[in-house]
Order: sequence, then C-alpha cells, then structure tokens
Amino acid sequence: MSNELIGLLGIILFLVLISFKMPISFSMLFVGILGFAVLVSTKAALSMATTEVYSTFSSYSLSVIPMFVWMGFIAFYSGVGSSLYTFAYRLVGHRPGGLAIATQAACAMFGAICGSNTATAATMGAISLPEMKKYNYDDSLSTASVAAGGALGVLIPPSVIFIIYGIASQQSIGKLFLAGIIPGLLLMTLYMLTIAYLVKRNPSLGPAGPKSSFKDLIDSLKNGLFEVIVTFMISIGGLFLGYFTPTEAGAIGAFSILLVTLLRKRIDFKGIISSLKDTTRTTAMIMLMVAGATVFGRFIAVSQLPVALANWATGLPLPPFGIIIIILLIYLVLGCFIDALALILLTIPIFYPVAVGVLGYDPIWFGVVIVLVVAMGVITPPVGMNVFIIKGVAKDVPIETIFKGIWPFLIALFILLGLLITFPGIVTFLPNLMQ
Amino acid sequence: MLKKITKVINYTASMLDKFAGISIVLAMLLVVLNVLMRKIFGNPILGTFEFTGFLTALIIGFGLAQCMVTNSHIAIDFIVEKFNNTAQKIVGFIVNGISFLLLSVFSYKMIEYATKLLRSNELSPTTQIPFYIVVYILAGCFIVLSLVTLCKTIISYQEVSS
Repeated sequence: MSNELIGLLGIILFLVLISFKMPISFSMLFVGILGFAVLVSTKAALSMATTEVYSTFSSYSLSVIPMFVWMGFIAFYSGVGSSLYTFAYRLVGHRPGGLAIATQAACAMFGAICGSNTATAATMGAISLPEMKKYNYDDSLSTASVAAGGALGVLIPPSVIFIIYGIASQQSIGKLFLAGIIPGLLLMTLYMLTIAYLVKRNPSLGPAGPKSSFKDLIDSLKNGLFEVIVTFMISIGGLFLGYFTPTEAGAIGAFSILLVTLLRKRIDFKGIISSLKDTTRTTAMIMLMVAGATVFGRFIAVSQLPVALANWATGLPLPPFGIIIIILLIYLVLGCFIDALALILLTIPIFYPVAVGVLGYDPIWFGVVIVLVVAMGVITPPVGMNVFIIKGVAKDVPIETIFKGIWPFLIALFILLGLLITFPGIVTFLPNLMQ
Repeated sequence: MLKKITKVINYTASMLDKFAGISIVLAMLLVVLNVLMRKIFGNPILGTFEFTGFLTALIIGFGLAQCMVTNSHIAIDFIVEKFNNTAQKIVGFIVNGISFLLLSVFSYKMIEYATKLLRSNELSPTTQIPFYIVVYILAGCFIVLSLVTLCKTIISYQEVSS
C-alpha cells in the first residue's frame, strides 16, 4: 500500500470517527498517532505525539488564545454586549427592519472585542431576539440575522481562527487581523442591505420600533461603546502600531476590559469567575484540537499526500483560478459538516502548500478567503454551529425556520466572496500598508 | 460505588479547573507587567516568554478534564442522532472506549516523557526551570481526563447491557 493511500485512508477513518460523535480533537489525535505508527513505527508515533502535544500546549504564541477568549467572556458577563445593542438600536431601531440592522452593527462592534463567532452569536442572540420578538419581527428574519451576524466576529479582529491560521501557516497575525477589517465591514454592510431589501419587499417581516431621543442615543454611546473603544484602541491598536506582539495584545486586551468594566462597576467577582470558567473550558477545547491537528498534520506530511495533491493540482488542465475555485468548493462542502476551526487546522497542511506554494496566491488573501468560506459553514445545514446556538436561545423557533431565513444572508456571503476573488486588494490593501 | 467514584473524579476535575482559572490571571498579569516594565523602564521581566509558555500549558492541562465532564469538546452528533436508541448506545460505548484507550496510553507516554526529561535534567534556557515539572503536571491532568473518560465508558457500557 502506498503512503498516499494510507494518508487517504487516515482521512476516511477520521471522518468515520467524527461521524460517530467522537470529539474532533480525539479523532485527530487518534488517527494521527495510528497513521504515523503505520507509516513509521509505533514508538516513533507515540513519542512524536507527546512532544507535539507538550510543545503546542506550552507554546508562547498560542497563549494569545485564552487571553482573547477571556476578553470576549468578560465583555459578555459585564453586559457590554447589551449596551452595544442598545446604542445600535437607538440609532436605527425606529426604521423598518431597524432592529435586525442594529443587530448587525452590534455584532460587528462586539466582534471587535471578542474573537469567537459562536460567542458573538450567543451574546447578541440573548440580547436582540427578545427585543425583535417584542416588536413582532418575523422569527425567520430575526433568528437568521443574529446567526449570520455572529460570523462577523470571525472576520473582525481579534479572531481566534485568524490566530490559528497565522500560526499554522507561519503568517503574521497582525497582518491577518488588518486584512479582516475591510471584508468584515463590507459583510456587515451587505447584511444590512439584505435586511433592508427583505423588509422593503415585505414590511411585515420587520416593523419599525420606537424612536429614541438624541439624549438617549448619547447616553447609550457612553455606556458600552466606551469599553469597546478603549479595549480595541489599546489592544488591537497597540498591535497594529507595533507596540506589542499579538500575545501581548491579548493579555493587554483582557486586562484593559477587566479594568474598565471593574472601574465602571459593570462586572462583579461572580461575573469574573463565570468568565474564567467559560474561558478555561473553551481554551482546553480549542487547544486540544490544535494539538490533535498538529499530530494529524505530521501524519499527513509523512504520507506525502500534500505533495501528491499538489502534483495532481498542477497537472490539471485548469488555470490557477480554476484550481483555487475547486479548493474553495471543497472548503464549502466540508464546512457544512466540520467545525470551522477544526477544518482550518485539518486542511492547512493539505491545501496551503498548493494554493500558496504552487499556485502563488497571497497567503494573507488565501487565509481571509478560506476563513470566509468556512464561516459560511457556521450558518449552513446540517452542522451550522451558530444556528444551533440561536436555536438554544430561541427555543420556540423551529430549526427549519432559522435555516429558511439564512439563505438571503448566505447570498450576501457569496457576493462578498465574489468581490474578494475579483478584487484581492480589498484584503491585501491594509496589510500592505503595514509594510 | 460508580456514582461515588464519578463524583470524586468530577470534583477533582472541577478543582483543577479552578487552578486553570488562576493560571489565566497569572499569565495575563505577567505579560501586562512585562510590557509595562519594558515600555516604561526599558527593563523587561526576565523569563516572561518561558513562564507564559509554562502557564499556558497549565491553563490547558488543568482545564482538560472539566471540559470533558461538561461535554464541551466539539463533536458532530447529527448522524448518530439518526440511529435508533440501542445503536446510539453501542456507538457511544465504542467511542468512549477508544477515547479511554487513547488517553490512557497517552498519559503513560507523557509520564515516560517527563521521566526522560528528569533524567536528562533538561532546563529552560533563561530561567533554568526543569521542563519535567510541567510535563509531570500535564501527565497528571491527562490521567484525570482518562479517568473521566473511563467513567463515561463504564456508564455507556451499563446503558448498553441494561
């Protein structure tokens, strides 16, 4: 049996195990060790796995993950998310569909201090759905708009997926963060236009809410937006200006939001403990997945599968553009079944060398585009993570109703993907300024 | 009996989780202090890089078992949910069994790795901290994680046989 075939069988075994509800991290670790043992030796496989897991766990660069995750949970428990929504809602809530539009703005602002799309969707879902229900918004529009809005957190820095991509592909995390800003804002605008279009066609989907006074608007600006601006300016601003590294930006960000929310009495001891508990669980889950993917990646590398794939891709009678479209289609299909983070981790050793090494695509552009494509997976059936989170918040809304409302937002995501492919400068403009 | 053992293991996991929380706070404070010392006094804290790495390992290690107790590891369940009840239980038992085997072998190899580091007396370059201490702690965390998985395996076996 050839090494490449063993690599392929390993991927199939991995898919079987995850289909049987084995945690993705355990499946990657198990198949990685097993495959390496078949290709090299059992002793070498176990020794490789222990050293890889230890070096992943004790990696200085990966220590940024618990920090950005904690930052998001502090924002959640301190009620900053709620204040952000109030501000956006007072700004545009009185227009038809305004509450759903406000949700997109609040998701984007929350994404600026939270690195996780699921945390963004959960926070905004809990805050905005009761409001939209109060004003008789259509269930499908309200739930789908929050589920889709959560994906903004993936593109707008800080983003855990960008950190993972940056470390796995050895690209600058600062540049990836910068590269996500314009696509993130564009996506927010496209979502808003989608909602406006839907409501214009059928006004009963999103009736107008109450009009707020200018004083109320200014009040809400002081509460909530202040924390976000301070944290974002210090943490991400400091990173972009080169004052500190991404790891330091994470710690500084967590410290800033903790300090600001404590000083403004927005979080108490109980809130801090809850945020820490959620952070340890999320960190352990993410990092075991990273370690599992590292071991799996070593097996895939030894199997020579990426080389075979690269040779196959270059031999295809297609221009590089055609091959990149095929790669994106593979991501799109896999993204419907596999968690976004796991998919990035799993496929970087396979597709990155082809897209960047062989086809010559810009690594930052490739990172943003595949992150956008896997972000589609968080709202598409059958494993749309954000949709399940929203279902957990809006228990009375059937899952089919949420998925039904997703399609217009998915079209917005495809439009953005088309724009990024046609005009790569949208992604590379800001990172190039950094040089 | 199993209930009591599960309770003790789950309690241990929750205690370790508290240590993970403390490690996060320590790592944050260390990095922030280091930035302040470097920017204000031009004198960074020696060994921040190494200490942060060690603390990150502890954050993850201490949090692993509780993550398993609360079923927070990402898994795909929509396919298994289509199976009938008996098939779901059998699949659950097999998956838990494989996970337990994987984690117990891994814990053993981790102890072996730590012992190897102890014998070779490998130290971190700046602060001269022996690596084996952190690796032994991690091995301990993996043992607790294995025990949590063992309890889940036994429970799923009881469900299959009942």
